[in-house]
Amino acid sequence: MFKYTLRGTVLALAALSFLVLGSAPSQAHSQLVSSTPANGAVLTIAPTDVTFVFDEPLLPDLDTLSINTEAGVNVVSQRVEPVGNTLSIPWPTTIDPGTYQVAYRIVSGDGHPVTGAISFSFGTPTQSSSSPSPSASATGAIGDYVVVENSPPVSTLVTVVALLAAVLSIGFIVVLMKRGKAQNE
Amino acid sequence: MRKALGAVVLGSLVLLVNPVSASAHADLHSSNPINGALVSSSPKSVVLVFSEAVELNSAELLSNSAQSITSQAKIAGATLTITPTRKMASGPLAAQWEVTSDDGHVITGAISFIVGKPTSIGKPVPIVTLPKIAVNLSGNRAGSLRLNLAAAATSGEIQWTHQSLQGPITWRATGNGKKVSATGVLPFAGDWTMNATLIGKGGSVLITTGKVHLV
Repeated sequence: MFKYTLRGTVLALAALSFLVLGSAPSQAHSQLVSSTPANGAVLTIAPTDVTFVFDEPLLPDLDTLSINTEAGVNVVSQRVEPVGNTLSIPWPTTIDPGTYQVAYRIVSGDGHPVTGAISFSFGTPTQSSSSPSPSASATGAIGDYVVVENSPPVSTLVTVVALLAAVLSIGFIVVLMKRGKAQNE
Repeated sequence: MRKALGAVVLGSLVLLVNPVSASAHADLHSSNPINGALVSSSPKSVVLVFSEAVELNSAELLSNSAQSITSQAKIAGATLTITPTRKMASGPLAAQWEVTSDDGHVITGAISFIVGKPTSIGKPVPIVTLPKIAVNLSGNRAGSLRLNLAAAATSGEIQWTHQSLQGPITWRATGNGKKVSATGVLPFAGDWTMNATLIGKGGSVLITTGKVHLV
């Protein structure tokens, strides 16, 4: 038990010292390979969980995931035990539609801390109501997000389109057949 | 149309912010002058000490107009020494490097400092960030500046990038759980990109990015 804690403390100190010293960016030790949802994804509904896949196994005990709002408010922050190369966090069902950042802080196999983040949104994005200030060099705000209610699910739309296409093609064939008959007679 | 626009706006913002990652191999351990220092006269040389022996790819000194200052760079183990051939003019300056660490990783970075008297820093300027937290830079002119961020964090680091720099200038940030601040030198005018990694209590992480134009 003591050993375990000691190792954690040493790693924490190592992590802290790197953070404090500041690091030149370079090729990361453990690099993010992919995430689900993908960075920049616009989803219609909330994900069930968020999963990060890295290029190598992660060290246990020190990996954290944080969910932040687009206003930079931390909603969830928790230590997550890695499973091999992956880190996963269930998406809280209580979170409103909008844009969120999920930031990770991991410790790669050689003890170096690595931080990074992805952003995605769910619900339907609308255009920003406040236009970004032209003088302030950076990009502007993201608008409000609303859930469009009563919009038919994609599957219903597909069915309707397919049915329409079928009716039209049957009609077309019937017309062709009639024309053929008329010419033969 | 609205939806498409929204998606485009979101897409571009996401591009701006992400993906962000940082790590350390051979870190800059110390330097003379130290990063962000105010020194009274032109130093004979700029000394950079890394956490482990590195190979030198390139290193240079940059004037406050982002012009390369004629200098010679030497590496001895973990110590890189850049010596200008002439005394440097006063004002903000930067030293930047590209080195290769033992494990074959290329590392770029920069430090900045001011020779002579502090320069005028102009008017405070807000920085629009994503995620959008309230961020304020103490001036809109190159020089010794302070950054205040309204974030529930206790520590972090701010990395500044500029088109004239191969690697970022890094500022350490400290906070009280409500506000975070960091100080350092932004040596040139032009567009700077700020990338802040903020660590809160319990290890929460917030990464936010913005841009600022210095005149």
